[in-house]
Amino acid sequence: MKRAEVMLMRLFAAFVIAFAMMSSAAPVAHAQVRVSVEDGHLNPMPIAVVEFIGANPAAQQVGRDVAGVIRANLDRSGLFRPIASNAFIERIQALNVPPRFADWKIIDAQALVVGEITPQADGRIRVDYRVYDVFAERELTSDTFVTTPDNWRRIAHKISDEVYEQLTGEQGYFDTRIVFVSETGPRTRRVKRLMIMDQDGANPFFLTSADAMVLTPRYSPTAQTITYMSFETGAPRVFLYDLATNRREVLGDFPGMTFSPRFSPNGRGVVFTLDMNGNSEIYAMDLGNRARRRLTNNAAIDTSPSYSPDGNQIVFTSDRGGSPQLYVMNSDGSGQRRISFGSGRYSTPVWSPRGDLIAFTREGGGRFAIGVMRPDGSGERILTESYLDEAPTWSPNGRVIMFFRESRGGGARLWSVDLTGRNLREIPTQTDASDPAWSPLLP
Amino acid sequence: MRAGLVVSIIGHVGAALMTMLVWEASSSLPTSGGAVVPIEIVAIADEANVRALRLDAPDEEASAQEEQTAPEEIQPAAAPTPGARRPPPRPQEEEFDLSDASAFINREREPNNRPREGELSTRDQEGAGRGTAETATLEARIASISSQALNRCWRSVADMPDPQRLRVVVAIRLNRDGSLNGQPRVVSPTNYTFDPLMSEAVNRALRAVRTCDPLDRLPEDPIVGEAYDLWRDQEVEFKVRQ
Repeated sequence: MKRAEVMLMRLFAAFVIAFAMMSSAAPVAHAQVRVSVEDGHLNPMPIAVVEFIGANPAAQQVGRDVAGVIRANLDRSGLFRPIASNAFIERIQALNVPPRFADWKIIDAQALVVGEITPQADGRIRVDYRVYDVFAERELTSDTFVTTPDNWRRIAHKISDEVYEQLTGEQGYFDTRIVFVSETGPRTRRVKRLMIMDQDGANPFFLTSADAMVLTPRYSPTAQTITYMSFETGAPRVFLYDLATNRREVLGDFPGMTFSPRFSPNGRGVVFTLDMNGNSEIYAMDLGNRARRRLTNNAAIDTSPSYSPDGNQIVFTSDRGGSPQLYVMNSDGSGQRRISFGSGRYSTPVWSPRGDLIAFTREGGGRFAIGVMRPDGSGERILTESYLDEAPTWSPNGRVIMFFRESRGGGARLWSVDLTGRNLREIPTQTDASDPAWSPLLP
Repeated sequence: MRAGLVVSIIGHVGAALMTMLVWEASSSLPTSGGAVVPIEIVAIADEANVRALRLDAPDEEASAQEEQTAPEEIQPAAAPTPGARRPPPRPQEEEFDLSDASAFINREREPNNRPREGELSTRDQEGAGRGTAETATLEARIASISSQALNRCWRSVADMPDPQRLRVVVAIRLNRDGSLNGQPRVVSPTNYTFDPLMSEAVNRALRAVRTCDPLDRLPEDPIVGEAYDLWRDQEVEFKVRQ
């Protein structure tokens, strides 16, 4: 009896404790409203780039120049809106003091870039910079470069790339160069020379002389090497140009014409068109042992090959169906299939470095357009169209396309457009310019 | 004999505790979110909830119908508590705030002479709990106000590759003035460190929440302004429209 009682009492106590625990553990019931945000906007992000501070007037001038180039880069990307410096409230005087975020929030700056130029005893300059997320009130990144004063532009591009990457999650493309065909002289005796410049049009210089016409320059995706077509030896031939050594060489000695070359993604091979007796076929060549392999075998014109970034496929142009259209094949030439079925003639396909899209030129109704489609041919979108838009080339991050535009009776100029079809801008060049090729990020 | 007494005591105390637990559950029911509550309970909330209905324009027909269809077993749980009395009827002029155009428009849109939204905030101040239907309406309005504000602050992921994949859910807690209380917490995705595109989507969501801080339209809203307990915690889902 006694034991039974004790057991019952224990049971009761266990009950009470269990209840007590349950009620104390029960969370305070607070409604959690579910909010759905689906529209948003795609407006450029307001950003404040402050003139880099400097200890002496020369350093201050470099500081102004660096900030100016960063602002111009970010503005040209279409993703940022640099805020005019006369709107700034806080005056940055030292890099080590955190900024007053409230002052930057008021002017709606989402991000803040500050920096300092410090002259070194050996004549070089040290560039320190910091990037802040204003609303999160934290530093995103900081870095230091030491370089010769005349190299300030590259430093500005590198900082721009870092800012871009921190705030978009994608790799930047500002520390890059463009090689293109510079065109001068009357239309009947046009002089076409290879020229190279920074992506913003600065530092242009010629790579080839005025003696021989050049066409279709293409950058190696891995090295500072260019391949292009030149009439230097009489017949059109594909050349390689090493930018580090300024060495040029003809790619192979073929009986016919070679043209429209392009590097493989690893830079160790080139794919190009070889024309013999009026029949153009696509060949791949290993740059190590110079062995070549024929990839197409067709009575029609097959040309303009471009590798997918994984190197497994090649997109090219062929008129085997009656008019020039885009085709994709495996990199050994197998599995050839047509992917473009829209109205018009398709040419100059280029596979995006991201792999998800192929850019092309489409001609129809007396106009030329630059467009993109998926590698299976779906999702075709025209980004820009005019009297003559031609020869797209991708920025290394696959977000921007550069091409050349020619007006009726006017010269050709370089333009860029965002992948969304927005932010169409002209790239300043001293001469008329065509056939641009975007470099990878500089080392 | 004594054992019987002990069993009896245990039984009674257990029953009493069970009742207390039921009351606890029922009292927390209205604030636990309208979305999961069945429709029957909504009807009861209108008719027999802990708080009174609008008195000057009761919805007779709906009430009668609700009484008939209301399940028997739920009624005790939703019966009025002793502390909850119907507030005395107030003159119409007091309830119409003509200076507040949005509240006015909301009243006009309210169908079937149901309790008007404008009244709810004044009733909350009177201390009693909130009806489930009322909670659902308030929550919808809170979600709408927050969504409108955050849409303006959110840089969409529509320009990124495969944007449909980049869905981000962020939990936020707000102070009474609508400002962020603590850091926003990423609920989903759970692991995105090595996914740069998803990381950027998360950054854009967090940036939107911070840029929109404070969400001061919530405390300033004439209808939900006082319902702080309803808008204190929010789960915000950022995704591109399908």
